Amino acid sequence: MTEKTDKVIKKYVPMSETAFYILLSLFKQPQHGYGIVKYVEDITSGRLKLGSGTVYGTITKMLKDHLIVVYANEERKKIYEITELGELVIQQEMTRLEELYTNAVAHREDKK
Amino acid sequence: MNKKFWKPFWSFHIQRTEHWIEEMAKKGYTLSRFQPKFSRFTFIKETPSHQIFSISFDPSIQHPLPKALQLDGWEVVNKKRKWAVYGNVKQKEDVKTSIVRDNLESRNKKIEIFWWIYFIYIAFSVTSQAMLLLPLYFSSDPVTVTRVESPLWILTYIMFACQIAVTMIGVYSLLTLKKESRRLSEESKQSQFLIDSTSESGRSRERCNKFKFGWTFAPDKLETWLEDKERSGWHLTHIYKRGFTFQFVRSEKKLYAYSVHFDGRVDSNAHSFHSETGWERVFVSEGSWQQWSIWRQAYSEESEKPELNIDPESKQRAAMRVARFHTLMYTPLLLLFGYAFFSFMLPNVLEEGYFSISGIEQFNTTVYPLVMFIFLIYVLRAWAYYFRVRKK
Repeated sequence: MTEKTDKVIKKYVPMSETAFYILLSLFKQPQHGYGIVKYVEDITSGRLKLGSGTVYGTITKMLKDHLIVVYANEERKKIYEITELGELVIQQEMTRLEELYTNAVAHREDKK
Repeated sequence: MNKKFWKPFWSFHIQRTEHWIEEMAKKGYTLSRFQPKFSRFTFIKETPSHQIFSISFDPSIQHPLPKALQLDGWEVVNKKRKWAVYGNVKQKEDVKTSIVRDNLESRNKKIEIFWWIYFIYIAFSVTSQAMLLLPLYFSSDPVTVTRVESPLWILTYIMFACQIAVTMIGVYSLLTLKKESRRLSEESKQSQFLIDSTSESGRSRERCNKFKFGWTFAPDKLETWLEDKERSGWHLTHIYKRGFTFQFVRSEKKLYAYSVHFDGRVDSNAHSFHSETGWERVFVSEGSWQQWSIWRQAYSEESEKPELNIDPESKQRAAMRVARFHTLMYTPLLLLFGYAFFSFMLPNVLEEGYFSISGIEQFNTTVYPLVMFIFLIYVLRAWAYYFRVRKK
């Protein structure tokens, strides 16, 4: 792993909930801005309604750090796509969350 | 056989340059060398494999190629540091995707700002020189100017010529970039539009205009005010150009979330992003450096109130921008006025007595502290806003 990748991973892992869900929705498939907001609302059953200012800010930051890239589709709509670096970052975050989850479950069982 | 071209300012006409490369390709020339810094393009006589071209600017020098673009036939043909030429093997009609030019647009904006600063400096130095020479011009004493012969005068002339040349380049750049930015925004225009004012039918309905000044110091208060208006059955229909007069029309009571937004620099991407996610832009201020915009979104009793910035971090960042902007704008004025007042006017008044100074001096010594007080209030209000947001 290069030094640069290391730095980016350090910056993003652990991630904020918003950043995680934005990257997660792009991990599934390339999407445009509104698609991200809708998708996140869907998979959290309406719990997480992302403000468009927040999404825009996060996306701009991720573009700068090359976690994602942008292109325009036929309707000239901007579509965001995750990069290899982005996938690496979210995989790391998922591993961390998995550990969090197993520990949470294990401790809850213990108490029962 | 090689063909070399020198195309100064090619990056200010990006579409024309791309078109030109395409034309060259049609004639059977391939771009073999690309020197963006020197505006040099070298072609070799060889039928190129690409049909259409797109030039992209990326300050990070990475020139990423999204998978979707790759699948659509795009390739990086030629790259040199921050610039890259992308080519597509397909026919123009078959290409569905395109390269986003946000980086290029912000680079052009930066060049524009550089030239503005240059012109402000020129204007400043010309005025200060004129101020020095004016007393000479107006004085009745005869002025004799002697020119001391020296071979070094040549330096003065050269510098003068350079200055003229640089200024001409500046004028050209600013004019061209203005046109270019229009072309680029035309190009990226999407199917959706930004609504500037909602002209509702029903002219006969009761209307009222309300005047609101100084909301930029307390955007949150304006938001609450507008939301209260909607709740009490006054629907905002129009905000006049300067942003001080708000027109309302009697209508049914409705819930709206308002959001006042301040951009350090005009970011049309952010605006199309917000309107894509269901926000309606009701106002946008003029001027290209500091831009205010007002957004709204209707919501129902059952759902949560939507917010443009939802997490406290980005809310605070936005509020900080407002506070910082007003501080940067008014503190220098405050210092300038304060300097003049405390080091010249006040001692003068104390020495001579208020009633023995001239009318204009009396006026100044009264107005200066007043103006200073107002500026101070502006700055303090902006910071009060920031701390309100932080506390929430």
